[in-house]
Amino acid sequence: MDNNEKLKQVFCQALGIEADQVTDSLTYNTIEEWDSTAHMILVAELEDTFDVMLDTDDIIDMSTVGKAKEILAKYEVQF
Amino acid sequence: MALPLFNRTLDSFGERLALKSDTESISYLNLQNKVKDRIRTWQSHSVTSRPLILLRMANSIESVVNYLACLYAHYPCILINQSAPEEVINSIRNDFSPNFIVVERDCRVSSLTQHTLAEDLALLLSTSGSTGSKKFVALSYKNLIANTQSILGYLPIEQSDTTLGSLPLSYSYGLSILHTHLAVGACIRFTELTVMEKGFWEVLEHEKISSLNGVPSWYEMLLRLRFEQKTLPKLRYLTQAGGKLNKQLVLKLAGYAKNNNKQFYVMYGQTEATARIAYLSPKKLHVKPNSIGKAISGGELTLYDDKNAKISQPQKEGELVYRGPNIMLGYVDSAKELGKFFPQESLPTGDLGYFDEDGDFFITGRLKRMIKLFGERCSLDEIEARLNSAGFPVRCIGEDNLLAICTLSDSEKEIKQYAIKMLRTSPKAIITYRCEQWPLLENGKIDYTALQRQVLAKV
Repeated sequence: MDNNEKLKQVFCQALGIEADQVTDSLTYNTIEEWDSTAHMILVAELEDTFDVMLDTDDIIDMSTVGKAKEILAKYEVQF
Repeated sequence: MALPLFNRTLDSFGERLALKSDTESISYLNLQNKVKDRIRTWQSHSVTSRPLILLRMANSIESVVNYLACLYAHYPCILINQSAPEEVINSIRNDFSPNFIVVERDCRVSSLTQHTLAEDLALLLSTSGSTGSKKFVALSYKNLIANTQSILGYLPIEQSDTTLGSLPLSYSYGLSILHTHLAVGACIRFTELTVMEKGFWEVLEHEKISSLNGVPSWYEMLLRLRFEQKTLPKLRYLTQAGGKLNKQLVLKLAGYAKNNNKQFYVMYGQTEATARIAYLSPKKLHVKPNSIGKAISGGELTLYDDKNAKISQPQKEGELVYRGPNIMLGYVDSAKELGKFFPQESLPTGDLGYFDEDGDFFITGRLKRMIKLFGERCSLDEIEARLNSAGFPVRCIGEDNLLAICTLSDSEKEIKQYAIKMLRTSPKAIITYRCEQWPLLENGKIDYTALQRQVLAKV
């Protein structure tokens, strides 16, 4: 499984949404499934899956799927 | 006019800031004037001399004005979270026929019923927040005064403080913060910002916030966002209640408090006791991070074993029973019960625990089938009953932050989607489990313990 697929899977599982909903523009707090509680679960799963440790600003800035890719790229996760 | 709750007038605090939100603020003087105006507006509808009010409460200045207007005017109110679904509002209208439904500045006459309302009845609070339980806790003015005084006896609240009012005011813990701060003339800072927004951290750092209050899931989030790296020189103390915070995280916050010259209060309470029952002295935090400490002043905590005998020796487990002037008037689920109350002298908490040689209490589990879903107390029996009446013949078990819904049918997905909507909780907190058949006790009833073992072993 490549990193794009892994990322998609993490979003689906953490937020309880369908794969076709996971687009780069999907934004925090615009769907009821992606609230702050779900975000914490999402962050924990991203950290586990990609073996990274995010800081406060990363976690807060991760407001879209596209942003998540950018932030993970800082930690040398390639998309 | 003196607020019955605080024994002095709001305007005696003059120009001091009472409330502040993201967009506006109000002094004690102006707050008092707004409260008076609000009462006059309501009285112009003159439905009945002492109406019952359904207050859809947000953490906003207008909502506090509404709430204080109810207290001043001696109108009992049902406090419900402003974001509660229409389904919940409709069921309250059916059961209680409130005369007014009030949302911010909007006040609508909803019923002309002349209710018989007990003289001391101040307020009705739901015990399970947004999950929509039909059972309410009735509290008196005396309850509110007593608990406010007890809390002021141990928390270091000062008039110059600004606390962050991040807990919902429709929740007993959140409401107790409003009461205690208004009683001393301090300021409550409301914010729509969540810990997930940069602005939240700016408020913490730049607005001289002196105290924080939160439930376990909120502190979990703060710590996940590396809260312990922020020194926050103006922050003096933290309080935590609303469930058991993981011991490691208690120690982490205790360490943070120690290193940064702050105090951390771990507390215990129930809406049935207005809010607060016990707290742990911050000095003992490092030695007893999983203790709830001792009863608040004016109250008494005791333990009873399963034969209803009082336990007098340490380390022996029993049910925690509380006595004190903050014990509720009673449970109610309809308007006809609001006329007369028969308050109990003691409150069985449903929590199991023991005390140690110093008399500090520890909670070990729950007597009833209750779990917490991200800070919201939920009865498994009640969730089960609601799903059953929605056409899903399911059985529910679970532990904190995990509800397992068991079914014999293959409609697991449908059930899960319905439950997420009904409980308004994260999908992560709910699992469905398909059983071949229900494990039964000899008497033919469902064996929940066996079901629990069977399901949770697979999680």
